[in-house]
Amino acid sequence: MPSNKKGRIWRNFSRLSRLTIVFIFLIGTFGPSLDVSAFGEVTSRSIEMNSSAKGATNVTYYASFTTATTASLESIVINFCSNDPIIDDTCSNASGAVPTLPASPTVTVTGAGTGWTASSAFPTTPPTGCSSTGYVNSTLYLTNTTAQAVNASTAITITISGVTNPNTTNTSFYGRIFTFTNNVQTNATAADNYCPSGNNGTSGNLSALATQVDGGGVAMSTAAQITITAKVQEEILFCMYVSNVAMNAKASTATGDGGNCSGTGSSVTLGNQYGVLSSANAYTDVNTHYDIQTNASHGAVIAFTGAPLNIGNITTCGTSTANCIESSTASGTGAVATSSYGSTAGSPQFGFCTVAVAGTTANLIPQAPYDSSGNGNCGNVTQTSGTGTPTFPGDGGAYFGFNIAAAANTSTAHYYGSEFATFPNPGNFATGDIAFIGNISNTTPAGIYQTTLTFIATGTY
Amino acid sequence: MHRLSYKVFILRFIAFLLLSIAIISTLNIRNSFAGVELLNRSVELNTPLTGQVSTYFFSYTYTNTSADLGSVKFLFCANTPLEEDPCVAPSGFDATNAVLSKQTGETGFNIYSASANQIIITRNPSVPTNTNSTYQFDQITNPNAPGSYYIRISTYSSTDASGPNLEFGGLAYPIIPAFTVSTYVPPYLTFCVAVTIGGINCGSTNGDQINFGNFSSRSVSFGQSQFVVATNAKNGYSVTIDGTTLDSGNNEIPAITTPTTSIPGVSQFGLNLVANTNPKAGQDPTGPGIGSPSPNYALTNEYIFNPGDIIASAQYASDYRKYTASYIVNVNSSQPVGVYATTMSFICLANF
Repeated sequence: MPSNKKGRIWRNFSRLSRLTIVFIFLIGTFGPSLDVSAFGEVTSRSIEMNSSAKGATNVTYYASFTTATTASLESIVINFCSNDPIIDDTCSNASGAVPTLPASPTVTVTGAGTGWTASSAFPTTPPTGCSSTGYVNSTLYLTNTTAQAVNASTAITITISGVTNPNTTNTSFYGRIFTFTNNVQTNATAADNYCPSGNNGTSGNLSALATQVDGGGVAMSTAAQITITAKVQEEILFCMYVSNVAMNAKASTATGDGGNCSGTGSSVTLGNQYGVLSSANAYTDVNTHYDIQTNASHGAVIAFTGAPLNIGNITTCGTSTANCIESSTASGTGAVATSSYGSTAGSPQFGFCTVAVAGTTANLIPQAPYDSSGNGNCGNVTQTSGTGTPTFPGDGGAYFGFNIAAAANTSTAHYYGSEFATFPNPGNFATGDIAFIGNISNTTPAGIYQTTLTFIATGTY
Repeated sequence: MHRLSYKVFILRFIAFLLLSIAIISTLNIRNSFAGVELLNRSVELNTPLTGQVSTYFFSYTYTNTSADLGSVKFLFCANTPLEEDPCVAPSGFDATNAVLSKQTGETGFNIYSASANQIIITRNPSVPTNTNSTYQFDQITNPNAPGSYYIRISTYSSTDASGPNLEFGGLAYPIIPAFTVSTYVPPYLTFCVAVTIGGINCGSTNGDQINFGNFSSRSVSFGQSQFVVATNAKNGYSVTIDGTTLDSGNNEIPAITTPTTSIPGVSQFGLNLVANTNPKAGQDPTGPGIGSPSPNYALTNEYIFNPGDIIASAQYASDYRKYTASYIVNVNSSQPVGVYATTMSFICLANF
């Protein structure tokens, strides 16, 4: 092989290597380097789309570049091609392969003066050999009747609205940016107009346009749209349990329960260490708790059904106290179903109040007559039932309630039972404490009294 | 020209090597059921206890008001309310005997089929309106274990829940164990006797001896004592008096055996339990309890004493009741000299 040929091959390889080294992979848009011998090269150039979906309509293209040459401009052209960004190459712009613009797109220009008119129409007097066949309005012509003086190193932005993306996905396409000192769309001299196919005149060379100032190419791409579907199913967590923790202290000292329905126990006994009530003083029990959590968008309602403590054979607890620990007069229930009442030793009373534990008060709202309704604080009730020597009175001045009529409702929705709390904030968690109270009179019949309370949580999704 | 072609070749090579990836992947998070979801849906149980027969009350709003509604399917699952996932029937759950007892809003339905964990209701297809509808099913047996359970509601244009559904909605509801409260009320009797008792309970009692002083044939001697009774005996109580009349050795002042007024100069001993004017002594029973003196001991100004008599009683449980016993003693002019005394015993019997 002749040495000059070897040298030429080596020189070409070196150039190729150097060019390759400066090659940078970016996420974004960029353009290749150009031979600047014919015109200046715009720098910092990019075209950003607000949608990369194939065939997307009403897309906004944001073009920005920095001029290389000081000049008075009358035209700025952005030509979209599907083959390459090389500005003096033939431009392939078949329908669907390149973006299409409205005939008179809405364009905002900054950095290049004012008075620009936007159009994507084919040149009125195209150069010889420039055919409009198949043209799909893929070239933006910005023209100005008054030449706008633009210095070198000026940042220019062009925002184009209403663009329709190419209709193939994951496909690259290109934009060629040009600036001119004269009108290259409606110039009376055909040879002075820019042909969208990149073929300017029979020479097929863009350099035939002597009025070109700067130029540069940009690459873009459509991309597949990624769809992510997440399923969130309806959920509700609700439980009742017994835990030896004081009122409003469960959040910090829970034993046997992690605050997430892991507690156990489903019964309490009112009375002294033998479970015996007294007419001399009330007995209270504060060991009943409940947890609730749901994603029901309209929250949840918590109610209960059941009767006051009784020894059976009752027809209407409240109107007859023979076998029922309840007294309309002393309790304010029965005939006055919605009112709460304070403890009265020596009068037959059974009821409860409830409170949300600290940290969950925004998520659990006690309802009358179980919320103490401004009379005392249910959270101050202390444990006097069970073993040990209780300190009376234990009721903490709180008021208690038992809506007998509502609690007996198991046939008429909605809602079944007597509502005692609401859960208004979906997605959160709440724990509630319940304090039961029992008082008897001298005439309360002897016997083992019991009641089964059914607690119901209903979420609305 | 040759140099220019080479440059063009290089530039094109670079362009092909460049990966002008402008991937802007948009994450499109969406709910796959948006726009085809039954709204404001809930299910309410009248008893959410394990294994119990319960009523299920459904409430929701139809949103598809353009297609005929011919049937609705309710599918009960233990695992998830999601339509795409397999449904595991809840253990112990049984809707075979379900009865559609009430319906409001979009009505005209009857049960097409009811299996262990599925109910289909059907009607003549018609376009529903965007109003809240409710459906109540009785005789459904709850699952036999506590926990969260789910329901899938699907609507159809067909009358047998076949074909694609129009709308869908999931529900969650809890099943929990029963909660009991218990206590013991023991048999209860309060009974006390004293010369005087403050208030109406046994908190303040005073004295256990009555001194009549010197008897006179010209005027009556009288005194009083009190007793209080309270009990929760459902059959009430009775108070019996026992003892002997006033005596001094072999000499005694005769007891009045039938209700008689006080007669000075005639040897008498008796009592009653009411207010009197002759002499001015005693008072009627007081207190919130029930109970009253026996008839022979309830006559104003008439006195009697028969050992073993029931002197007061109540038929039912009674709150505190205070009785005042008024005693009279008269002697004739030939009553032998001596110190006359007796001990009265009051016995209360509660009848449980």
